[in-house]
Amino acid sequence: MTQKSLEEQISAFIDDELDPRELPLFTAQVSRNPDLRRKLLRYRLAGDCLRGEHQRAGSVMDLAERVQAALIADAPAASMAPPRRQAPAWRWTALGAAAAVVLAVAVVMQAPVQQPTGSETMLAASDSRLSPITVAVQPLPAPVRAEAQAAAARQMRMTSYLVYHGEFAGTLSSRTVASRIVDQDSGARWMPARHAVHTHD
Amino acid sequence: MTQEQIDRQLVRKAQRGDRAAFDMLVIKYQQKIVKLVMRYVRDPVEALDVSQEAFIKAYRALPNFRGDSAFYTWLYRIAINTAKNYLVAMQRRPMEYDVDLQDPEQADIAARLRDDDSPEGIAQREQLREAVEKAIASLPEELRTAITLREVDGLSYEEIAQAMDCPVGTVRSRIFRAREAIDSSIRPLVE
Repeated sequence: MTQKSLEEQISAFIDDELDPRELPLFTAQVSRNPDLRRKLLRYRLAGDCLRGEHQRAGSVMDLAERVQAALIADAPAASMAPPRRQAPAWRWTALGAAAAVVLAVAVVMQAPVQQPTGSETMLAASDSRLSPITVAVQPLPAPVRAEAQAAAARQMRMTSYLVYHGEFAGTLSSRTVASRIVDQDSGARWMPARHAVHTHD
Repeated sequence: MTQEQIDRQLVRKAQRGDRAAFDMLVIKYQQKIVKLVMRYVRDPVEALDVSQEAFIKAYRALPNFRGDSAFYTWLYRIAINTAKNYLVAMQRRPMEYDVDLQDPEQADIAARLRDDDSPEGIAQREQLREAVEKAIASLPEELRTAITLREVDGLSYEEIAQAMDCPVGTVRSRIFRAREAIDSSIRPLVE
C-alpha cells in the first residue's frame, strides 16, 4: 500500500467513508506510523477550522498522545481484563502458620528435645559445637490450630507413604533419599501390620 | 459505512484490547470532548486534563459498553460526569446555562454563546482560520466545492457525487486532494 493511498484512507476515515474491510489494516498502519497519525490529527483540525469549531490546535492535538501514553503507563490498572480473584488473607495466614508448625515438628523430631520451660521450647542441637536455638511458640487461634494439625497429619501420612513405598518399590531394596531421611523419624512407624516396615538396613 | 458502524467496529476491537482502535476513537472525538468539557472547566489546561481522564475512564469502562446507545453518546455522558466530579473535587460550582447541557445539540449552542479564550489562544485560532481560508480560496473549483460540501454542509460522498455529477471515487479523491493542500498550509503552524 502506497503512502498516498494510506493518506487517502485517512481522509475517508475522517468522513466515515472508509470501507469496513480497510479499517483493520488502516488502524494498524496509522498506529504504527507517527507521521500518518499526525496527518490524521491535522486533517481533523482543518475540518474543525472550516466549521469554526477549532480550539487551541497544539494542545488538543496532543490529547490523543497523552491518552495513549497514560494507558501504556497505567497498563495493569487500565487493562480491560477482569480482575483475578485473590485468595482471602486469612488463607495465607493459616497456610503460613501450618507451614511453620510442620517445620517446627520436623525440627523437633530431628533433634533431642529438652523440657520446655514456660512458653519457650529450648531446642538443643545434637552437635555440641552449635549453640542452642530458642524458638518462641505463640498460641495459635483455634481455626488456624485445627488447620495446622490437619496439615501435620497429612505430612505424617506422606512420610509413612514414602517409607513404605521406598521399601517395596524396588526389588533391589534401594530406597529413595526421601524415605531414608524420613525413616529416621518416629512418626513413620504407624503403618498397618501387614505393611510392616523394616526401617533399619 | 455510517459513523455508528465504524464506531461499533472500532469499539469491538478496543474491547478485545486493541489500543490502536481506541486511539482512533480518541482522535475522532477529542475535539468534541474538549469543547464539551470546557463548558464546565473554563481553564484550557484543566479541560485537557479532565478530557484525558474522561477517555481513560471510557477505556476502562469499555467492557461494560453494550452498544445500546451510540459510542459518542456514551462517551459524552462519561465526559460530563468526569467534569462535574472534577468541579466537586475542586469545590467549584458548575457554570449555569439556560440550555440543557445533557443534550448534545443544545450544548453546542451554549459553547458558542460562552466561548472565550486567552489572547494567545484567540490569536492562534485566528492564524489557523486565515491559513485554512487562504488554502481553500486557492483550490481549484471542483476541490473547493467537494471539501465544502463535506466539511461545512456535512454531505456524504454519495450525496456529493450526485450534486457534482461524478463517481463516488472521484469525490473521495477530490476531498483528499483538497485536504492535502490545506494541510500543507497549516502544518507549519501546528507542528
